Amino acid sequence: MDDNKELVKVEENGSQSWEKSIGNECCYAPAVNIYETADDYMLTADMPGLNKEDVKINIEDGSLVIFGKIKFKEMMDKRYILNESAIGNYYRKFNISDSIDDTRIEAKMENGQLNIRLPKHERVKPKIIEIK
Amino acid sequence: MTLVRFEPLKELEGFNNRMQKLFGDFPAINFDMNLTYHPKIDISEDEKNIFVDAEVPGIAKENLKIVLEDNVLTISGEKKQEEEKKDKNFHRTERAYGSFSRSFTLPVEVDSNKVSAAFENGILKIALEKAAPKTAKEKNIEIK
Repeated sequence: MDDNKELVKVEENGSQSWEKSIGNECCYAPAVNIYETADDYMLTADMPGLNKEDVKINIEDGSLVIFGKIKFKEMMDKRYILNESAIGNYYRKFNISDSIDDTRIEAKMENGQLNIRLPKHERVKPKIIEIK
Repeated sequence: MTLVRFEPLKELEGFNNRMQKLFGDFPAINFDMNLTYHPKIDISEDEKNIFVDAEVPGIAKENLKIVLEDNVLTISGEKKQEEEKKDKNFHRTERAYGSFSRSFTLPVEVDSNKVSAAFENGILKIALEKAAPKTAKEKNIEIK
């Protein structure tokens, strides 16, 4: 009768799992900047209101997925006089080329701004060949 | 006959202008919105307070200024581009930079001594306590 339990399970909002959040609550793509330096690609995404526990970064099948979970219930229940911000989780997926070394990716969260460093593989970096 | 380059976006812009003319205060479909920085702001209330939340990711606390004057709240600041742009090869720039200033007339009187502001995770949170409603003073005027 375990199946029944699942049917009547009361969903406690606010503690929804990441996967459920993607399904049930709306998602918006955060604005990003991407630039390239000699050694890395740098990605900056605006995700205001989140601290680093709320953000998840995944590498799967050659794509980089960023997901940020907001306090959806709390945001929806406010009595708004003016609401300009879109209420939703942050979700965005990028295809990354195989020139990125996905074992050395670093990320940091600062003032609601997510910075990801995607280092290039050694083999794609320009190399100067010395003439003997 | 002159040849004009086909610019589909230009066409849209023209359409937007025509709509603007038609409707005057038609909500602007602003094409250059991304070029100027314009933080998104939420204002909410409960019985006692008014809360103003501004999304200002990537701005340091020192670059923000809040002024409350005559029940008008002004938030201003500047979002600076992280570092020099030179020898950066941009693939995408969706985030806007620049200075901004936004003012709001608050819907109810607030107590200017009971305002607090916090800055966390790129959101500026201002809480303003509503002023106690002025009790209408009854006054009997004597007829002489």
